[in-house]
Amino acid sequence: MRSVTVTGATGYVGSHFARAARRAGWRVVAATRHASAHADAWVPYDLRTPAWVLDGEATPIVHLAVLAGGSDERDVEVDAAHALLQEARKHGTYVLFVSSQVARADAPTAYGRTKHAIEERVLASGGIVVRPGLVYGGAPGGLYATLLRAARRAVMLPAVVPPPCVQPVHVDDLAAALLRALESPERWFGRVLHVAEPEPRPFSAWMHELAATFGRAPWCVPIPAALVRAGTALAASIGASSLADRARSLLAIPPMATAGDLAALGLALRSSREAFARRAARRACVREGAALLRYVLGAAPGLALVRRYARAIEALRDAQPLPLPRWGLRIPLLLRALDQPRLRAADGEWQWRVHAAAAIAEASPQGARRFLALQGDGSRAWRIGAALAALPVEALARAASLALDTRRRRG
Amino acid sequence: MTLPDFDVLVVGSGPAGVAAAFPLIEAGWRVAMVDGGAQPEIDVPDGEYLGLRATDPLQARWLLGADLHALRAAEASSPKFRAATLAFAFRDFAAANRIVAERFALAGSMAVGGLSNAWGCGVTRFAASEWGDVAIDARELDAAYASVAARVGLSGAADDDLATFFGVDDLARGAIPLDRLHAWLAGRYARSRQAAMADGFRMGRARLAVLAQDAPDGRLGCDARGLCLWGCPRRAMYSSRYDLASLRRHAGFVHVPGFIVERVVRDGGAWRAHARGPQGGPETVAARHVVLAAGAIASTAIAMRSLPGFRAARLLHLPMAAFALWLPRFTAAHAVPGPATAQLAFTLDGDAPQEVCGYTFSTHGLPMTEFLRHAPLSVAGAAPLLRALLPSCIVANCFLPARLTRSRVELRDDGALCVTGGEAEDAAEFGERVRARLAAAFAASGARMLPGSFRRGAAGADVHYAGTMPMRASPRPGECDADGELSGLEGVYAADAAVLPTLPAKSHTLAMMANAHRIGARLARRLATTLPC
Repeated sequence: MRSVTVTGATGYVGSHFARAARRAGWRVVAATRHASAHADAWVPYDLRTPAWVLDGEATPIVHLAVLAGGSDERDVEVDAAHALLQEARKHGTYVLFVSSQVARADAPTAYGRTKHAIEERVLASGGIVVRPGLVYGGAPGGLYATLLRAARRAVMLPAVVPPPCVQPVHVDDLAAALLRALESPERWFGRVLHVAEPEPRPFSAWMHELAATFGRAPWCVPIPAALVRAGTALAASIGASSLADRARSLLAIPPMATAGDLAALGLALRSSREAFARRAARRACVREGAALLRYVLGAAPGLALVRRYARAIEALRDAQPLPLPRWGLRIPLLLRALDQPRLRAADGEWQWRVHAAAAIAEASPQGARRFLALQGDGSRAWRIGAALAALPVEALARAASLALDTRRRRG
Repeated sequence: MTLPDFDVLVVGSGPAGVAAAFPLIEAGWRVAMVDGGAQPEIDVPDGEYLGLRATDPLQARWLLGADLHALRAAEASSPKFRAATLAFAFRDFAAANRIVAERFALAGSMAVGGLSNAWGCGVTRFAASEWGDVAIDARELDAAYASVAARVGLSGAADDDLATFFGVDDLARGAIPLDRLHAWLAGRYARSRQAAMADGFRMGRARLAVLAQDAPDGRLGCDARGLCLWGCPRRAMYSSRYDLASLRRHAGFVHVPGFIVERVVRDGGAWRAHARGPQGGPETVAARHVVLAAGAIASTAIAMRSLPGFRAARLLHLPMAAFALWLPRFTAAHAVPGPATAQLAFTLDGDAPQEVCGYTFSTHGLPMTEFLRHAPLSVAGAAPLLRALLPSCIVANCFLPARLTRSRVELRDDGALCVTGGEAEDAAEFGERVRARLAAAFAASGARMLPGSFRRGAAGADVHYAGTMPMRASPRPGECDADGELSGLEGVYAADAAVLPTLPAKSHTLAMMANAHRIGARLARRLATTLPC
């Protein structure tokens, strides 16, 4: 069985890569500080105290580990890479180093300069360098997690002028690219592979799409690039934050020509626009399911039911969420006004969704308690009371539905 | 595939095919039985329905299906078509047999055991007049009924007002106990039955192909676990799939699943069936005789493709209606475990005696979603109402006379069979009269028909298809003689409901099986008197 040793296998790219490698039939050895759930074996490894990672087995080393700390420790990273390369040479194997789009000798950030220093050593030893663009998607991690947080919460997004451009790459596509490289390494020894969408796109537009997956549309506030540079420099000077460093490096991204390398690897990348559209639709389906199931059950639905509903919409309704009114999503019991015979009859799709939610809700112990008069689950008087109590509320909902129907006809 | 040649090729492993095969096999003839080959995909859970509903965290697996079958079939006309455990019994039928339906809710089966995997298990004996003008030896038919009934296992015999209508009490065991609603309803009927019968209404126990007690072949008796809609893990409800094991014990029997016959062609003194094989490619098999038992519509498609000039036929089926009855004294009771097969049956005289027949069922073995879809309320309003109401309700179906239908089957130039649904002008009016009379009759027994609940089903939703190649005293091409042999295709027989000359409004399966047994037995005797080719 083919094996690969992965430093940083518990990180954002590392965990996605480890999973993909195992699916593709690789045995994955994680060289990490803590054991990885996605690996077959574990070798303790810390960049600060580099030790041998190859446990008597000459596997290729995919080097993903980075320091979480500040930029004054960059030498540590370079030294650790140096040790890895020596070990690889001793075992007659090689290192595949995952670098960054900002790696340059004269990069404005220490981050970029460190990456470049490691790249040089890896290439000199006959290893492989992969430069990904802006990595996104999958389970949140790394810079993507920070951007997701910003996209979810930010009321406004800085639209830096002139706009810095990014070349996104989905984390699973990057993992696939790394696997392709590992499959025939001899083709890539001593080379730098660029993996990202070929067309650079304004970062602020990309962030806007990401925010849209949460149903948000933050304002874009133009900010001169010089101001950002000054701000992050200030941040770096007081907190030595690597994130400030990386944000600053975003401003100085040189465009990469990736089409040639992607073609050579035989990879077609998904576009982030499509990926985000799917993410947004999926999220909207989950919200719709949570609201409808809550309405149908009269109580918070189990997570499994919401997932099943979203899966049903993906499998049977082309993953299209319904344009439900915001008040219905916020306060699901108000959906009762929409769930009236006349409005259901006017919209077959809406009727289908309500019935699907009811069928999904019913097929659970929670639903059985709601829909069946099980023995020991309420008394006869209680059941009669509940049924009668439902009637005045139903009359209110009917009245509201008539008003909505009138508005619908006029509109 | 190089199949050896056979004495008889039986097309279909449903109740008719199996019934026809037994006498042939027992006479020592070599029989090949071919079918669509579909097998159950999801196990029916082992337990009692309400208990499973309350506790089974994985109930969506059989209630909805891993592929969300129940939602895919949301528009289908009967809860059965939504039961994930029965999906295998209905899947692919139209496409595999090249049948298209217009204004007709077509159902058929590619499964081993055919539609008996998903039937309601109602059984009756046909009256002599219901065999049309063909001369059928009554003793021969009675022997066939006895033989088939012994294998199937009948229950429901009772000294009640429907004993003569069902006509199977000499073959059936006693009935499975009624649940409390039905017991109460039966009691109320008993007090007013004279008046009811004067109005043409009769009620009695449902006679069913359901084991009341364990059988020696390993099938277990009904224990009222209430999963009947999804299929019985005890195998108490008969499926002809269960009979394949005993057929296979005979050396002369071969079962070839996934062999879909398209047409039969005369090949020397024998017949060669052209089919699509398990791998999807063309296959053929030769046999001295062919027995078509693929279900009335699929058998007709094969016959029409094989017999030039046979292009169209009348299709008999039974218009159907369903309604709900409310027994007020049980309002807001809690749900109680019980059987979900038919419990009581009723008939209504129309222009002819006992022209309408129906069955009543408990509501507890049906998902509430089946009722929500018809409620003129919001789900949130209907759910507490139905939870209080349903345990005091029973549901009923009823079959109206076939004379109200105008459905046809016709072979198109491209070889596809087109089924077109239609009904007589007075069908709606007839249905309305039946509704009013049934409402009055049940009201007299203390059960209120829920307003708006009486609904007529789409044409074809009854899945009682028959009469496309009827047995006649003097058959024309495309019709059968009393032995089931197709005029124009000598040596090719039909044994399923396609040969029924009339379709009374009653469950015809047992009569069809007895007739198939009779046809098989006659063919076995005929084979003995003719030289092999």
